[in-house]
Amino acid sequence: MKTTRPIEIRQIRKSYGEFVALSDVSLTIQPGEFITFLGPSGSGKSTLLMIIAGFTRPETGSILVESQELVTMPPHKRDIGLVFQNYALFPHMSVEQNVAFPLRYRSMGRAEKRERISRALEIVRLEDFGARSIDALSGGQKQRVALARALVFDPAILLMDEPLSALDKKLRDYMQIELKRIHREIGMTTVYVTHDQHEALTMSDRIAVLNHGRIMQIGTPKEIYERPVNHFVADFIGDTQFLPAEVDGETARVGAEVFRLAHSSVDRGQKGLIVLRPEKTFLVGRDEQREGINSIECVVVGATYQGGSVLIEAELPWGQRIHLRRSTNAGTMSTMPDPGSGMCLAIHESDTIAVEDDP
Amino acid sequence: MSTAGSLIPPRTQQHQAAEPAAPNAVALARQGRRDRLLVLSLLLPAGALLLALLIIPVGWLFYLSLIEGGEYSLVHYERIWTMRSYQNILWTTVKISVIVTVICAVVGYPTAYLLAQLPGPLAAVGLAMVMIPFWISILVRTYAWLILLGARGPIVPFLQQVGLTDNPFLLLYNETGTIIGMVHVMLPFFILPLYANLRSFDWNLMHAAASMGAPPTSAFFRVFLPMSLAGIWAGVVLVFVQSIGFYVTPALLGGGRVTMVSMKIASNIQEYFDWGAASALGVVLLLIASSILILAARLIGGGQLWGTTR
Repeated sequence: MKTTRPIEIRQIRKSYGEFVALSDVSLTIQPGEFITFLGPSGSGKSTLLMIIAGFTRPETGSILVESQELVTMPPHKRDIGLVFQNYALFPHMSVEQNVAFPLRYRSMGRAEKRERISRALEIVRLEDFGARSIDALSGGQKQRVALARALVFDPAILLMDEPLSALDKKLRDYMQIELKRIHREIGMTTVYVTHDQHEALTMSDRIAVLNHGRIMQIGTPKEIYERPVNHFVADFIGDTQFLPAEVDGETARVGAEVFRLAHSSVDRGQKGLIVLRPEKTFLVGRDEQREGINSIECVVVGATYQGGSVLIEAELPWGQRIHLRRSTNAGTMSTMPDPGSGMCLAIHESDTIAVEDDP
Repeated sequence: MSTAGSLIPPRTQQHQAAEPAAPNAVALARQGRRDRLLVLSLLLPAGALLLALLIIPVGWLFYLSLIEGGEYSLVHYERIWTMRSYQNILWTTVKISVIVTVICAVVGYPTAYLLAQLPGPLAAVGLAMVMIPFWISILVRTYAWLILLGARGPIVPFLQQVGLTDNPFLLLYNETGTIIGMVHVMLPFFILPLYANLRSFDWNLMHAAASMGAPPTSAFFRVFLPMSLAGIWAGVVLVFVQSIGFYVTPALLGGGRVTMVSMKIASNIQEYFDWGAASALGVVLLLIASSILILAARLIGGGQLWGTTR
């Protein structure tokens, strides 16, 4: 049963003794959406997933799917596919028996079962692996079987709990693309949990960033990266550095300069932070034209060659050091500034955003 | 290439000859031999122990079972094979052992299941409760059963009073008493290996089963039980193999009315000084135990039975 209406999660609260794992979390998941819960460990992302799956009981809250209340329903009646970090395949069954397992509890003809199993194995590209034993599979193959097993009964929601974190980096990158392809192919409502921001940015339609049991921000990968609404989100995602600033509406005073802001979540007259990312920051000569650019004087301290890019370190008048990245092609390499040279640290006005400083 | 190759063999030979001998080949080979010798010499004490305490005694047992009146003879085995009394004893032994094993499995499985689910400290308490009787002498425990199951113990007079029986020896000096006492002694041998097996069970598998629609009972029978089979078999083998050779408890609680193979061995030696007959029975017990082990290893894979793999 595929959902045609949104999944409404309302005011989920869960605490373990003194520790509040989730405090009144609410969000709406659109049908067919790939949504990621992203956050550090202890942020509550896995707890929220386990509550949706039914293996953790919240203190309060509601999860409505097709106007059916899920929170009070036992896990085996919820119609939710679950993919675990450690695969959780049944080692005493073959690949095919694993994939057939959920169909045992659903009434359908023998022919349809067979059709669904081979379709599921085809989706994860393991058509010829049906008779294999689980022990004979590699990590990536096991995760595909786990996925086929969760997809085969066409559940209302597919939940994935850090499914790729046990794989090595190359395989992880490949599986990210595969998961995305499979999601495009069957358009299943998917909730994905990870602490890996790269994974979240690559795969998601929307990302919910969690911290201390609260949703910090929810939005498309681009919104989350380009327009973080607070210090935590700006800091957690990307290789972020901050410039202290006094924000005054659409402008901010940074040292002796005034920056024009594209976006700000800081109240007028408050202390704020300008979000700097290495790839959005660059150096200009002190006498160069600076139309549409915010800039501040700096001195180049050093440069470190890192293969694909050079990491340049620059010092600001108040002693703060900022890293910025330059790609390594012949053009940029020939104009690499020498250490000690006075330059301007620059960022496009449309890239300049301010977030509030944590008290 | 092949024609060119056939034209230049002299040159390749020259090339090989010109190459110096592989560096350190002799010294490295000598070191390798020395390491192997060292490993062998380290194995020697354990090997000697095995030889002295296991291989020689068992060999001697075989030898004695084949001697009658100073000559080689199969007469002891012939007697076991043909005499009704021997067959009754073997049948009683196997029957009691099977019953004891089945009861241990039925009682022990839920116990191990519970222990495996308890959080750490509680599991330690539970395990201690399984282990404590294990640390008390079998003889002491068997005498305790003599009192508990006897005509003046708490159970039989109660049953008499409520009119369920008028037999004062309902639970003692018969197979029932023997089985009760043996189950009590054997139970830890079933619970411990099963507990070790269940403790390493990945409970995510049960979550996985539930998420796919399996109600708890179905998930238990389709996932949990099949995965604990190795633990069950380990317990079954331990209990059965020990039961068929058990002496003290059946001798006391059976009161002479229940004769198992071990008692026949004892009486052959103590009363008839017939070492040959006793040895032959010992060999038969050894064969039964070995065939059970081999059968179990075939069924579940040797590695799992001996605990070398999970």
